[in-house]
Amino acid sequence: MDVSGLLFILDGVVLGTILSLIAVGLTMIYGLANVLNLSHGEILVAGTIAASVLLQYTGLPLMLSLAAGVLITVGAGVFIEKVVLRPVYTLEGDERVLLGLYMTLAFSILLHGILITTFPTAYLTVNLPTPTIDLNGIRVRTAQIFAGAFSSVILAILFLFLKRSWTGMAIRSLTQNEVGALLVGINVRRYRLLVFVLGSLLVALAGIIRSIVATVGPENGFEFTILALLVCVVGGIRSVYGTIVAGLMIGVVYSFLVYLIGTYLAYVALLAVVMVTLLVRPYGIVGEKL
Amino acid sequence: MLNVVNISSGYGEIQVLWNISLQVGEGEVVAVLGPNGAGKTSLLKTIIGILKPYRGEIFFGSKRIDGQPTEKIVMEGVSLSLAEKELFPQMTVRENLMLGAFNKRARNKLEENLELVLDIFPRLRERQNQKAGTMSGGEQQMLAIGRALMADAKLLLLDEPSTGLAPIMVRAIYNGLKRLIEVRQGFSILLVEQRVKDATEFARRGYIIANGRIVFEGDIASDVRSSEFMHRYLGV
Repeated sequence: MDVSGLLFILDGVVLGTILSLIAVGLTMIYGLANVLNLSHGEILVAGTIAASVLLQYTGLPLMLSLAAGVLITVGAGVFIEKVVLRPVYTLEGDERVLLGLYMTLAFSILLHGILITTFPTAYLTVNLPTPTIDLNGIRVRTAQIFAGAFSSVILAILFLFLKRSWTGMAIRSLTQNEVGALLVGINVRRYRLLVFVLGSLLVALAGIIRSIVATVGPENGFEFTILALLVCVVGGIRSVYGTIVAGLMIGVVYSFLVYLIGTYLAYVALLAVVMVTLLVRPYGIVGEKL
Repeated sequence: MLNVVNISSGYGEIQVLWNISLQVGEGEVVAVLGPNGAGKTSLLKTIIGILKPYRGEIFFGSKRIDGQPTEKIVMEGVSLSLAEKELFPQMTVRENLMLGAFNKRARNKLEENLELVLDIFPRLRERQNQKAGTMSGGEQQMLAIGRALMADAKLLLLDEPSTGLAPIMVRAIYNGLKRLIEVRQGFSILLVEQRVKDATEFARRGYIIANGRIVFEGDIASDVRSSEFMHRYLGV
């Protein structure tokens, strides 16, 4: 493999960490609320659109625009938890999972329609003032490396937070046994809201990091949701650790397939890879029987 | 310490408890006996606030706790260990115990309570780094009780600790509980049991529940052993 092949792997790692950031929110929300949030990718786009519009029309500084975008995404997450899912929480078990799918899918389609018609040109690209270096005649954008490092740090902080802090332990306990969590004195409702806030924050940051290495457009939301769902399923739907590993795996495989067979076929091949993985390990790479 | 006054409770429209009144004094072990489906576990769930009573009052110390959310009641010093254990299977024994001390009051006494739990159930000390889901039923029962104690409880609500366990495990659990009340002065236990013999060795006073109502209250250690009594109230 030559240098450009290595660059594709770097691309894949960066894409992988971004997918992990998106998918981790999906996994945590599913673990806690039994809702597979199909509007998760759409609220990412809501944030990048907000940042892009503020940058283009108000001349707000970059950092403030991005921060406002993050707030919009988190606000949308809270709206989903408090309003969209309100009828869903009155149900339990399979009924809750199903109604959760319908409600978040409906919200996703609605949001997509509003965003794409109101802000059709709100593309977000963040150009970092980082140099492009020359490696044996191949140009390497250091922004790429910066983006990968940024998302890796966020994932590492998240991992430590879940492993070490009381709040993180409470979140993990809730995904494993809700009655047990109730018995040790954890307020289930409050933590459910907290997980939506956390998941939305992560997906918002993923959107910003994605816009460092590529352009995020108003039509990209559902694609992010689908890719994140693939990551969740491959990782084992209830495992945050598995989600991170699966995100990296899918990112690298996808980028490498793009390098080998081109963008369009790569997507098809990726789905084939996922199918084979699930045939071999139906509960995901670190998942367990539910 | 615990005073339950005329409680009626149930699951939604399905009422399972009618006018239950009982008391547990400080440092007392009180048993609740009765056949399957009598409402014993529902009573414990009502005291801890998982089920909301329709009518009646529950006092813990001087505070009224009925209608309060479970995390407030746990904070007051009441803790429940269920027969189903309800552990966190993917977490280690140590993490399960740590989470038992989730409420703010218990966090300050984490080390002290952890030492107490590991002292009364030495088996847990050996298995601290094992995942809870991989342990035997008896060990899981010890862990469930240990986790409930980590909440810095003053009153332990204990739901059928012997169900489905080998006799040697039952003995280990009851030995641990005996050690607990030796070390902790003033600690109270409300014990729900199906195995009358274990309960009567451990508690002097008790109640018998049948069809959601209290049908007997008194000295179970002497009365319950008479075969006529057993037949009449417990159907054995």
